[in-house]
Amino acid sequence: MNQTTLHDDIAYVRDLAEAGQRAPLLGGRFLTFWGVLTSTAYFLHYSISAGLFGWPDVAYAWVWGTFLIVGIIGQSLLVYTIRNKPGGNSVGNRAEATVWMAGGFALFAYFGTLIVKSIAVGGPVPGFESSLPIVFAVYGTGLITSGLMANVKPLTFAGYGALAMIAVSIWFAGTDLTWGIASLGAFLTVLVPGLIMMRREPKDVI
Amino acid sequence: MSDETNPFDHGQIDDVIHGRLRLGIMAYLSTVSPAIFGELKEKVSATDGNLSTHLRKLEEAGYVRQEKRFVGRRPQTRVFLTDSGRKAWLTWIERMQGLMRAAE
Repeated sequence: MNQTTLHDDIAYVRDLAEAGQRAPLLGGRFLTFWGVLTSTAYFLHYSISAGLFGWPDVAYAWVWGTFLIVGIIGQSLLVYTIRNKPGGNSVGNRAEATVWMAGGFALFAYFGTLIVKSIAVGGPVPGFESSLPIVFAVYGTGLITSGLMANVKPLTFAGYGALAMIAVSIWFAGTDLTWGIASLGAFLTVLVPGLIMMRREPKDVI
Repeated sequence: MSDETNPFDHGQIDDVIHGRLRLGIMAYLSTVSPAIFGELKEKVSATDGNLSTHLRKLEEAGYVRQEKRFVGRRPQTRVFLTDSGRKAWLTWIERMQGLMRAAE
C-alpha cells in the first residue's frame, strides 16, 4: 500500500462518513402536518373568541376535539411513510425523532390531564389559556435541537422564532388576539420550515 | 520493538475491513445504523450482488448484522453496525492514523 492509495482510501471513507452525518432530516412532513393543524386550530379558536363567525362556545370543543383526533390519526399514518427513506438512522434524524417524541409526551401529559380534568369536573378548567408558552417552548426546543444537530439553519432560526413566540404569547395572554398571533407563529415557525425540509428529502429506497 | 508499536506491521491491519468497498460500508454505517440495503448500495456505488457478498464477509466477522422485514408487501433488508464492528472500525482508524504519522 503506498501513501497515495492510503490517502485516497481515507478521503473515500471520510466522504462516506460525512454523507451519513449530512443525511437530510426526515421530519419535514411531521412539521408540515402539525403546522397546518395547529395554525388552523389556533385561527379557529381566535375566530370563535373574537366572534368572527358567530359560532357558539361549544365550537371550542369541536375544534379541539377534531384537532386531537386528526392529530393522532395523521401522526400514526405519517410514521409509516418514512420507513423507506435513506439516512433515517443518522445521528441528526435520531436526535430529531427523540427530542420530538419527548416533547410530544410532555404536551400529551399536559393536555391529556386538562381534558380528563375538564371531563371530571364537567366543564373547562384553567390551563388551556396558559398553554401557548408551553407549546412554543416545546416547538422551540425541538426545532433548535434538530436544526443544530443536522446543521439545518432554517430549522434553527424557526426554533428561535418559536422561543420568541413564548414572550409574545405571554405578552398578549388573556386577549383574543393571542390566538390569532399564535396561529401566525405556528405557521411561520412550524409549517414553513416543514415545507423547506420536505423539499430537501431524498427519494425512497428498498 | 513489539508489534503493538510497529505502525508498518501489515498484520495489525484488519483485512476484513480493509477492502475499499468494505471500508465504505463501515464508514457509512458508523454514522447511519441501521441503513437500508438500497441506501447503502447507492452510497457505496455497488451492485446488489457485490454488496451482498461483502456484507456477508462482514457479517461472518460479526461486524454487521442484517435484518430482513417487510415494508408493506416489499421485502427490506436493514444493515446494522454491531458493537464489535464499531470497535474494529475505530481500531482500523487508529492504525491508519499511526501509519500516516509514521510515514510523514
